[in-house]
Amino acid sequence: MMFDGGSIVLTSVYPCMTPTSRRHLYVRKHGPVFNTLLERNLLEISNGQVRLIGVVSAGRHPRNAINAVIGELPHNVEVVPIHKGHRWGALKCATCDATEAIWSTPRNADNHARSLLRFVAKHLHDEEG
Amino acid sequence: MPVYEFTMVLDRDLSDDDYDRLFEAGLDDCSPGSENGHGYIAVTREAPRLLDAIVSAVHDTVRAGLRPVAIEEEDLLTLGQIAERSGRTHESVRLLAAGRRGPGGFPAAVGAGNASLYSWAAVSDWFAEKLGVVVQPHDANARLLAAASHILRARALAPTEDLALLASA
Repeated sequence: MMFDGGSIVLTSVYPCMTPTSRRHLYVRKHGPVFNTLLERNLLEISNGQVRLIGVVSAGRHPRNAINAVIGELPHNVEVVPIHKGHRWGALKCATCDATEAIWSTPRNADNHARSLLRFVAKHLHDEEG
Repeated sequence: MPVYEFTMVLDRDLSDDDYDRLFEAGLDDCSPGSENGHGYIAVTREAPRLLDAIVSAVHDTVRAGLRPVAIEEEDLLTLGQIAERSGRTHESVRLLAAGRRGPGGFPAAVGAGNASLYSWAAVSDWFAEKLGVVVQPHDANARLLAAASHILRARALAPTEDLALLASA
């Protein structure tokens, strides 16, 4: 993996930052924060820019509509953290192994949440059975 | 602009890289997944017409290196979509669902509040049984989705030029 300089632009709000820097956080290259994010596969590096592609806090999606769905799952559906590429995680049905991606930055969070709710609804029979 | 929802079944299962390719091909408004060894994309797309939503979603999927081989209609609907299919106002359907109008016993929802989803199969049965109203089970959109699915299945079976000849026969 190459990194050829430039500042680090985090496009998602990092939990410990204040919302004063227009969603850009400048982190020292190869500093402790940089290395931690890199180890957790939370950084995407291209054209000298580094983007934060996942959230650091476990279990909480940045969009409330999605949290509302993943906060009330039946016992047979779980959230699998991925934090890789554009995927924040996935819903997984423990009974039939079906999965559905949860995007980090869906185009429309409400629509994405509704789609995830459909996944949950389709796998409720597993809970009843 | 209306939002159209349907599921595209893919020709193979999804790899880790496929998810990012789908996102970058413009399917960031959809939810790809995997079930029984087959990939699928749950499409939730704003478009002027259903036809535009289908064509653009198929185009985006092909651009990501995958091939849709079938389309499934969505059974779980919002109250707004139920109102549209049953020819009632949103408020009328909301009151029926809440039991504040009509005989009660409206099929239970999944989720809560604005995110509630209802099974169209269960709701259309309820309309017939409790209100004596037969709501059209296959409206124009359902027929278009079925036609699109047949075309995708045909494309998976025969070369495009053969299909063009067959279509013009």
